[in-house]
Amino acid sequence: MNRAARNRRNWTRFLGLVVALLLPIVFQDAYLRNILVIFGIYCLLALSLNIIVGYIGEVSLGHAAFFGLGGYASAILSKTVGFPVLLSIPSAVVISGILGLFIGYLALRLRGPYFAITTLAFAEIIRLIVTNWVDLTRGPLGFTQIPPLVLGIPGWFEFKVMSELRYYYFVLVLVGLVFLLIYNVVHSPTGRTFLAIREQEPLARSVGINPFRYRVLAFVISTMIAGLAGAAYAHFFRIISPDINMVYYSAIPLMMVMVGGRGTLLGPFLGALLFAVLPELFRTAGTIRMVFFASFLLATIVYMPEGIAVKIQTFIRDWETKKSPQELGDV
Amino acid sequence: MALREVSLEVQPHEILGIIGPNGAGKTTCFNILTGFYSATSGTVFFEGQEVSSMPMEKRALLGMVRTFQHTSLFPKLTVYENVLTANYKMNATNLLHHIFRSGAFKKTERELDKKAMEVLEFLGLREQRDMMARNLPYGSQRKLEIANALATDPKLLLLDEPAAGMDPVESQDLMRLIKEIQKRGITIMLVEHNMKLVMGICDRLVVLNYGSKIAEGKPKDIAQNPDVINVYLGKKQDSFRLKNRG
Repeated sequence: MNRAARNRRNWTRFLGLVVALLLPIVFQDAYLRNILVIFGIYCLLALSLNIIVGYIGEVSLGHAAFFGLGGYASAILSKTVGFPVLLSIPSAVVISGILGLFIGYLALRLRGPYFAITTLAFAEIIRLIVTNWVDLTRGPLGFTQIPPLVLGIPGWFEFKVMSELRYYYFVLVLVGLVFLLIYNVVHSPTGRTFLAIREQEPLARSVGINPFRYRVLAFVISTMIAGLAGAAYAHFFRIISPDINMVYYSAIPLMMVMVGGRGTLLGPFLGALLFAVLPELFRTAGTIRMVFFASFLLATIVYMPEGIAVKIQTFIRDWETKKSPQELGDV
Repeated sequence: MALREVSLEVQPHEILGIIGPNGAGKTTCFNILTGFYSATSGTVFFEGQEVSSMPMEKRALLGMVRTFQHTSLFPKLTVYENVLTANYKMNATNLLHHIFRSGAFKKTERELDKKAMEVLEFLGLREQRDMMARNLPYGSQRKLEIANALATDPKLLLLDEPAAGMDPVESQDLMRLIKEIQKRGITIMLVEHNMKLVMGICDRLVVLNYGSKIAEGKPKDIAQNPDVINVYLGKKQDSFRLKNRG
């Protein structure tokens, strides 16, 4: 990467952070702040699914299972068992990862559509378990009054993260950490190994890579982040029902990743913006807005099959080469 | 494609060529040796250790590394990234090092970079390091495939038609390169159609036809072998054309 590109990247990140910090101050309205929190949670979910879709190149139709599991695990641990939320959230992440290991270990032996269908089936099984294991999950009723997130030491100093504003900053920290985690993994031997498997599996094996092991690893990382997103969801809305396991929550992040740009770091954010924020902002337009979004989705698939982020990258690169033809060799 | 009772051996630091007409089982032989396919019977030994039941990736980590015809590079990565990525073996750090950017991670990245540059230098690909692999000229792509294999520091390198599609100048260059690799103490097996190249650099040849071994020996003996001539050119032909194929 040349210096101009690095500078641009740093500036984009800095600007992104400033905008993210200022957003809830600009938008004082509780409803808008509510949308911002939802946006953050969807960013987590899309970032997590992007690891499977973008970096190991498989389509998962069952991501809702891990989103829901994270939410339920944290809700049950904090409400029924009595864990502090600060502990129930990481536990939910671990539980999601364990289930991810189990399902990934079985499903990742399959490829392409077979893998996709298997994940869909697993998600459906988990949804049925959640709906019917009434003793543990309270069935279709779900949980209400889930304990809020409290930072600090109980009895000494407590800071309730309940308002939209505070919760927004909490989610922002989570998004930042997850972004950093994914960035570091992608730009490391592990990330290169994922790419090797996605791009040319026989070659990957011929240089000593065990593809299955790395596919499972990526899957587990992804499901842990999905669990984190679910837990963040549960303690924000403070209610949870089996709806969280519905196909909708598998399909939405998949669209975000596909339209935003799979295998890019920017893509999930763009996708989340498009599918979580815009539909809410245009709510006044009524159901007709869905027609526009459907057309938009189709147009993206036809004209930008690799996603918006890739289109932007190509555009910037073309623009720069036009500006300085002597750098053409770098492209 | 199948092999029938083929037995062969490669000595350390040797260049062994496997030749034969199309469909003779040359690539199958590579596939079985490296574990890309598993054989229904028979055994493979590597440095005295039986590796017959090992998956390909484990054999690769022992030092038995192959190239594939046309798919031995990552087309969407740059030349430099290709070699860096292929050098999976050298990385001694794990995921936690990568996430927390530990000192060990930084050290490994420097070592990997050094190794990648050294391999690119050796193959004369240094100038093209930032080019995307799929945009490379054909001959350089073939070289990059060898670079990817060399990045892992193999003991035995199996090259599957390294000169496929190369012009005479490029294949001359490749011959010199393969000799250089041998000088580094690496044992080489190669499957190749370019007879000039095979005759020029191989210490020994094994000839396959219809999945069976029909001859084995020094290149000049093979060129005179009536069975081989028969297989390649049909009966009643002299060995002259065989030598000048390709």
